[in-house]
Amino acid sequence: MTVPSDANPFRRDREGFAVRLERPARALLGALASELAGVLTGATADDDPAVARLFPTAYPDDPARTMEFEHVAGEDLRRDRLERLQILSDSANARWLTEDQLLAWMGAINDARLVLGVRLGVTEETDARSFADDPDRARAWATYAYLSALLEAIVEALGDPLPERGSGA
Amino acid sequence: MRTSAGAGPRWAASTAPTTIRRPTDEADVRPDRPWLVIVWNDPINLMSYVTWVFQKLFGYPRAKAERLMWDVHTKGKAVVASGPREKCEADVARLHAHGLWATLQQDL
Repeated sequence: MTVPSDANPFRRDREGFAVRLERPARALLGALASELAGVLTGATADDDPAVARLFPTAYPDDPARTMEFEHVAGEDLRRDRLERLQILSDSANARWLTEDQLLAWMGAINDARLVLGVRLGVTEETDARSFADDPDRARAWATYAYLSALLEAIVEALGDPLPERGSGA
Repeated sequence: MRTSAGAGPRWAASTAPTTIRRPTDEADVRPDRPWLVIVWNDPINLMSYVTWVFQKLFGYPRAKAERLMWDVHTKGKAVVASGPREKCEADVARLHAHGLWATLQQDL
């Protein structure tokens, strides 16, 4: 599966985005969505470093405040992630997405990259050769690289974002 | 961060936030020292995506968002926002929702 360099599979169309992806790519996204939902519901940051990467420690020097932060924000964050995965799963075969749906795809795809990246121990130096001797990890790397290309395509298709309400620093 | 989905220049080694020194003067209770939202470099997030997230969450023009992204990349971290603690916590939660490695600390 490749993202053709000359044709972004996501293109603005009316109030949303047309999606041109082949069937295997859509099947992959659907499968990843349910797999990741399983990881998120079955593991915690304490027992899975990949989950920990999705929920970083807010106050590295202050466990009490970090616990309070996680108490306040953690459940919302987990629920939002599961919602995005559900949207990706439900719309994996759609030929057209609303902008909100595409934003959910973007979040879900990046979450999948983060989990795969931690599992693979990705560093700045990692490339396809890193897994030449390990077919399973080589396959996971290929998935990671494909998701990276998809994410890049989504960012390009979205263009400069409108700021969220209440933003401004 | 990674430069792009494909091959490209390599980023500096990942910088994980391990210890951030606590303010040494525990009795310092000046209430107006602002809190800082810090984003740390990581080997997974894409440059274009990080720039987009800074634009989206903070309303920064693309040039400022790119400059912050490059700071994260070259210096290992950058302060991307500051203010009262509650606002900064909300910012950190939104950054976490977007998969960025963000932490809070009080300005020294």
